Order: sequence, then structure tokens, then C-alpha cells
Amino acid sequence: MKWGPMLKRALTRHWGEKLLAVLVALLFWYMIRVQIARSSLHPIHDRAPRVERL
Amino acid sequence: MWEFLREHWRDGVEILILAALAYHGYLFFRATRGARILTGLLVLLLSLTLISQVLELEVINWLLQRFSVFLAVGLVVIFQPELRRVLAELGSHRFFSFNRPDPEMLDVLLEAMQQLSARRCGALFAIKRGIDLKPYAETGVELEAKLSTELITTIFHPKTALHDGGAILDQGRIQSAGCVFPVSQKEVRDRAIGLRHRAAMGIAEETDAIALIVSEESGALSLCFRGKLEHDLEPEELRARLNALIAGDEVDENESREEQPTREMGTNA
Repeated sequence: MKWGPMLKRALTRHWGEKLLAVLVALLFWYMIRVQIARSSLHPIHDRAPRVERL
Repeated sequence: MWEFLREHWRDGVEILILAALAYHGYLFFRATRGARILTGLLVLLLSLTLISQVLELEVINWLLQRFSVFLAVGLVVIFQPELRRVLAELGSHRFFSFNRPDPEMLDVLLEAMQQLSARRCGALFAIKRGIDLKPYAETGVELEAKLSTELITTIFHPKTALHDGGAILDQGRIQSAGCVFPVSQKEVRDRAIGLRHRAAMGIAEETDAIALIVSEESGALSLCFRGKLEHDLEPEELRARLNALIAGDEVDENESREEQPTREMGTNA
């Protein structure tokens, strides 16, 4: 079993779709990271009404 | 460079996992009837999300977040048949042991199909693979008989009680005959595709079985796998396709099918 040609074939088969999948994944990953960064900047408890100490 | 890699290798792994999921999701859904809807929705949602994040449109962002819940429910409804098939495959023992049809069975089956074709007798077969076909077998008459050309041609003789239904084959045996298969709702433009072909497409959509059809009208031999119908195959072509499917060479057979799209039906819906 030759691993080189097998790997090459696995990478080049449907290469357009694979490239598109990587681009979509990159976009999706970036958007989630932005959301995570935003939610850590504005945590939920910051939005809750503050209780004044008497 | 080394520092950058050490700091961001987790991001790379995350992107690779997401890419693999996206690619396999695409491969799975591309031939289904909901593929166009899914593509349209994804393009719309991704572009809206990207625009709202870049321009910091908070109202659109808020709407998209709330909408995602309804979208998840909607996707389950749209892809209900496909999801059912995936779950059935997960529940079957196919991942652990391959229930592959006996190659000797194919010679007998192909011989019988050619005889039926020559006599213009319609026939429908479902060859069991991983997913259990018991629910469909129960709609017919249990036979549990060894496969033979004579038996098949007798079952599908137009004057017999069992000819109007499908036969389920498993490991060189006819499990049941006269079975009712689910009818596919796919849009097919060819008028030569009748109810028998639709039933073959139905069983191939809902399970991983290989469906074989002999047309009563033209005697044409057809094969259906994963909901895709390959109509009017030559006996040698049919044998080659069956051997490829039995060998589990499904990726290669996908490629070979792409090379001859004129014979393929049921993918444009």
C-alpha cells in the first residue's frame, strides 16, 4: 500500500469542495470567536440591574 | 514562526474539525431534495452574520441569535428523511461488521434479471446491507429460501400472487417477497419511471439497501443506491456497479457516476 499517492489522491479529489469547506469553516470559526470575545467583554451579569447596598 | 504555531495550533485544529464537518455535511446533503434550501439558507445567514458583525449592527445580530433556534427546528423538519437514514445507519451494525452481499448471489440474481427482462416481467429487489429491512419484510410473505434463478422468475411471473411487490435479499437468500416499499417523493421528469422505480428509490433513500429494478414496460435494468437511480444499465455495467458497491468502494462509484450524468436520475430534485 503506497501512502504517498493515496494521500495525494485524498487531498486532490473534490479539491474545490474541500477548499470551500475550509473557507466556510474559517469564516464560521472567526464569527464564533468574535461572538465569544464580545460576550466576554459584556458578560450577562453586567446587564443585570445593580442592587444598591443599604 | 515556531512561536506563532505554538500559540495558535488549537485554532488550526478547530478550523480543521469545522472544515471536515462542513465537507462531510456537504457530501451527505448535496444529493438530497433539501440541498438547495440548505445552501440558500447558509449563504443568507453567513452573509447576514458577517455584515452585522463587521458593521456592528446590533439589532440584526440580536435577530439572528433568536432566529437560530427556529432555524434548528426548521432544518430538522426539512431534512427529516435524511436524518432518519443517518440515525438508522448509526443504529445498525454496519460500522462494526460489514454485511456484504454474497458475490455468488449476484451471478444468480443477474441471470434471473436478464431472463425477466427478456420476458418483459417487472421485478423489484432490495439487497440488504447494514440497515435491517425487517419492517419492510413484514409487509410481504416470509420465504427464507435459497436464491435461485427459477425461484425468482417464478415469484415475478405476472400470474403469481407475489409478483406485485418487492423481494428482499439477504446473504444469498430471499428473505421475503411481495413486500411494500416506501414510494419516493422525488421529482422525476422521465415518464418511463413508474411506481416500481419510485419504490426502489424510496427504499434506497430510507435505508442503505441496493435496489434493483427490471422494467415491465421496456425490460430495462436499473439500480438505485442512496436514492439515486441509474436507469437502463447494460448487464455488464450493472454487474460492475454491484461489484463496486459490494466492495464498499462508494467514493469511487460516486466519481464514476459523475462521469456519466445522462443515465442518472433522481438527483435534481
